[in-house]
Amino acid sequence: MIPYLHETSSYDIVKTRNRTYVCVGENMVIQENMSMEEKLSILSDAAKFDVACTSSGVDRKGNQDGIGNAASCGICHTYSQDGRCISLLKILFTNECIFDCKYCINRRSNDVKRATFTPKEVCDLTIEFYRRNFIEGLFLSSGIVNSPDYTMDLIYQTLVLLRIQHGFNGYIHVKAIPGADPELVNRVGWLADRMSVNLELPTSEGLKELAPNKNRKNILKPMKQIQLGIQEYKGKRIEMTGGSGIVGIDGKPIVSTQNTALQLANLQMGIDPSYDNPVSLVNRKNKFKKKFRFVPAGQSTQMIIGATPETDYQLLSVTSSLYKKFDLKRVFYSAYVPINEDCLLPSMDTKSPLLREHRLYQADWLLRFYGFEADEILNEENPYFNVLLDPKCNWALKHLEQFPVEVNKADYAMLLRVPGIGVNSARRIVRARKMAVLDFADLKKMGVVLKRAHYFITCNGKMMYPVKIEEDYIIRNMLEVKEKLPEPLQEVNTYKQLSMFDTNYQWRVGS
Amino acid sequence: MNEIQVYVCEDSIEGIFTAIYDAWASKRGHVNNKIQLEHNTEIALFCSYLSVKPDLEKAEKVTRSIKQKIGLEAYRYIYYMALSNRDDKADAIYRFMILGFHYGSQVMDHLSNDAVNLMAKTYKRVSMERHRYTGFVRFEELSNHILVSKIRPENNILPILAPHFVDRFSSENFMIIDESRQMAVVHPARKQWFILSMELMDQNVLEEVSEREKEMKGAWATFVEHISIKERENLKLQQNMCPLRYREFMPEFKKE
Repeated sequence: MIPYLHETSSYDIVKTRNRTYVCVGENMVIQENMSMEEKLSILSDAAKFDVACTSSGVDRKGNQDGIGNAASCGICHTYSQDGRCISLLKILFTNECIFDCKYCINRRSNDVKRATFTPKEVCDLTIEFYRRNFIEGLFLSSGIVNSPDYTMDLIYQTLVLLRIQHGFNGYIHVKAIPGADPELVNRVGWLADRMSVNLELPTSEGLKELAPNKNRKNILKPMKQIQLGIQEYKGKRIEMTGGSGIVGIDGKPIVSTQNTALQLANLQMGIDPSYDNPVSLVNRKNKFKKKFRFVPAGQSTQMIIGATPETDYQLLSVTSSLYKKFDLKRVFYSAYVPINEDCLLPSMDTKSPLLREHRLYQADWLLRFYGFEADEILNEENPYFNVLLDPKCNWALKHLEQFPVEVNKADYAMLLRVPGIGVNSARRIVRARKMAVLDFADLKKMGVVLKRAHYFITCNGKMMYPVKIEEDYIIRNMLEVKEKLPEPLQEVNTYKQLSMFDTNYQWRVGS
Repeated sequence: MNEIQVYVCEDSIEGIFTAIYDAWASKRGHVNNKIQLEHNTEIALFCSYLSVKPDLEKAEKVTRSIKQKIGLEAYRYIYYMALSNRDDKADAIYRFMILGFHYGSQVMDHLSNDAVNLMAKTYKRVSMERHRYTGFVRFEELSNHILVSKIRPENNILPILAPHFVDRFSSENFMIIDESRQMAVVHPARKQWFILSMELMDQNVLEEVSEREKEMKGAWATFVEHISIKERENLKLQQNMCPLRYREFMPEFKKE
């Protein structure tokens, strides 16, 4: 491993009661002396639009040298008022961003309160929250402060403190900063569980227009690097020595990037003295060895939908090719919420496309767990989701020639394609029919949603009710039940050709 | 018609297994036997009642034959059923075992059978509550650095919840108190954990909370508030995902 060093060499810090001034060369950073809680409120507010607060994908036992473990199913620790799961301490390292992305609340041209953590603050906050079982770990992202390298390095230092000094075994998800030195990205990869690079917008044209400081190539480069790293280092572990004050990789000490002037400055800035001696170190050994894997929980990404004019089909195609080309674990969608006034953006009274986001997640599930291809769900002729029907139901109605299927005989893959039968109930059916011939009452016991499924299945050659297997008939009957329709749609009971239609729909992001 | 023999047992896995052992050994025929928990006091006609004292040796025999003849997955279902809050759990286990000894490990596939289905549903319900508590447990730090948590679960999940936290916090002293059963998991740092009745607990251990507690809870509540997107507020969804009954000891839901 090559040591990574910044070139800055001199700095000055002047502290007054309310402010700290740090001068490095010609740059000066002014920081209000803020309490920990104030910083936390600013930097969690700034991170709220990042999706994917999931802690899944890696199983790790705890040990007595450190604190924590990880469960591959992921664990939700609470739910915020928008109904989203909170699993990780999701914060930005800083919102003092030098970029000016139109859609972003932290863009340079916005007049918002700015704050920056120190690596130590993030580390202590994570450990203290973790001990109280508030969180499953850390999700660290950041605005670009000074340069991509500088920002990535701060993230790296934080991870070194957590993983190596404190022996933290909980979950860590970090963003790779596009444009940062590949060596830094590599080092972070050995300490994190999951990494992600934000795609930001679905197409490179959209990106060029709305994020003038970013480009597609820069985003895809670290994504590729992480993918190749995961492949190359598969099954490989490196050993690091940890404990208070001792930090090393593969037997050699880490050449700490903290020696450089600007970082020292940053470490000294705004440290709350009460955090100097965390209780969490009291019970630990002074020195221990730990083995690490490279990004064991895989890579994910996210994109904003509704800020640019792509069709649903385009979005789904992008998703599908990301899964195929980059081996991503998850693609997340973030319904655009208008927060900035800009002629290039949708107007401020645009409603957030929550239903569209919901349909995208449903389709994403079909790609990952139900054996569907993107082209089966949408295509050039039908590029938008049906507002009234979920994508699976929509597909089934367009392929009625394949139905009804006999529940006691159909293979697992076909059962999965029946509306009202999910992964769990399909598995149960396959198990249960080995022991007995199943009828509709049995299916109900096993969790099949019969009011949807009964149009598409037979038990023992019989349908549940005498129904016509005909598109219009089924739609009319299904919508009469008005199940799970979003509120504004409950008035609608005829089938219409649908356009983009956004509404406050219940939604959730699965972990 | 034969008179029904009701075996009345203690609400514990040993108690239930002992009653099942006695019922089986009676050779009266399973339809003439019924197993009931002590606190179910309703008396039915044409029944005679027999109180069964838990016997570790008998319970051990039952455990062994379940594991050997029906399998570990079945044992797990039975164990979770025994921890559940269902009043009919003792008899449910008995009925499931009769089928289990007939079909062997295949009984687990027989999901269309009501006795098996009830076991599967209960297993899901109890493990769901356990899973939720792995996230919703909240520790408070006392001034002697002991971490203490209170919960009020529907099912008796302490024995299946504890291993998760023991692995996670092996170098911490911690305690999880089940308020409704007045039982506690006690984990001394780096030592064997155990479950203790609150009556036997040395109350002196429970000191005042540490000074930093207020600050940490405040910081946490601030975080939870600020991470929410106002434009997407959806309290109903929040409540579906985190039902009110879990919130009693969660600081982020406490009004100042």
